[in-house]
Amino acid sequence: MINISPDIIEQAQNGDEESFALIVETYQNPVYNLCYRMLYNDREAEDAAQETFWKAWSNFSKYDSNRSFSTWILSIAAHHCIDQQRKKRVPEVEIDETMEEIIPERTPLPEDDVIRQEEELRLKKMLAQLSEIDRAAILLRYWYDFSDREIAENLSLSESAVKSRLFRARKSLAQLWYERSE
Amino acid sequence: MNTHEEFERWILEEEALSPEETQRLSRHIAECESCRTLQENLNQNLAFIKNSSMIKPAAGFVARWQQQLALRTKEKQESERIRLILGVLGLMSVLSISSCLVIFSPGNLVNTGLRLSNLLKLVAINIHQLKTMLSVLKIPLLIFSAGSVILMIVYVLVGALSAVTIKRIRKGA
Ligand SMILES: [Zn+2]
Repeated sequence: MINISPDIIEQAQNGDEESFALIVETYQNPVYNLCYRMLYNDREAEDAAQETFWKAWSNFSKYDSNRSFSTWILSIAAHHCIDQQRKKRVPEVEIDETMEEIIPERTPLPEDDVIRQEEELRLKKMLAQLSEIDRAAILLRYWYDFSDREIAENLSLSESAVKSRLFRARKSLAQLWYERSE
Repeated sequence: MNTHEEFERWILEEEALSPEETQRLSRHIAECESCRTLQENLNQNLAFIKNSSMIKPAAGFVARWQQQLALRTKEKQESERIRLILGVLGLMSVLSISSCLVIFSPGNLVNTGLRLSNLLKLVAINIHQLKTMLSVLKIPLLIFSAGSVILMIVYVLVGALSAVTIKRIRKGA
């Protein structure tokens, strides 16, 4: 995971906008990616990522500099996306419909792009079958290398709840191919 | 002797197993197809998630952040100002209402009425001296009318501001 110099964080914490812009530049990709994987919509992911940085900026005093900054900012993003996801609660049929939209039928694509889009679709299906919190837990664990304890702290869960959520999520991930290969 | 379900749990749990347990698990996986598929699927799917590419935001994210920051900072300041004004207005309203309550409370009503009638009597008696009286009363009268005008403005402002705030909140929601 990328890291930023403590000096810049301290300057930003003291209200320096330019230092904070540097932080935004450094963390835009992981934050946006997490938001995108949680919400699966460009517009919403952009809004959620911007909101994440705004929340970080206006609550910077709450950041404990002894802890990892990336853990802090990603947990703000995860929390925000879980809330957003709960607000919209798309019925499952609709999810399936929007999923098919990802592959446009009109123009034939170069093979690499076709493969990439197929992979995207597969990932989207995998993540779509998990609840918001399970999805956030899986993303934080396997994409951002959070430990059980970090996930627990950042999603306001107990460590044993994280363990059982990850267990359940892994089970459903392991069964997805089962169904597809049968 | 472990049951098939226990092996399944071992596969899904990701807890570290002892060398002896690892051996038992791999022996079971060699002969149980369902556990073998489970482990393969899990490993492949997790590897797939780990290796999938990062989606990046549209170019110019930082510039958009800077715009948002300017905009939101302004909004925050404005809403703080409105909150301050509303607070002061609220305090003023409470004060004016409570002073009205004191002046026109039943206990003081007689007193207030007496004073008013005394004043009227005085006016009636000294009607020819009204001019002199008015000059004496000029400053209190001025203060009184200015006060009522300010009070009216205050109430209009309170109304307008709460309408604006409600609109803002609705827009936000
Ligand atoms: Zn088995």
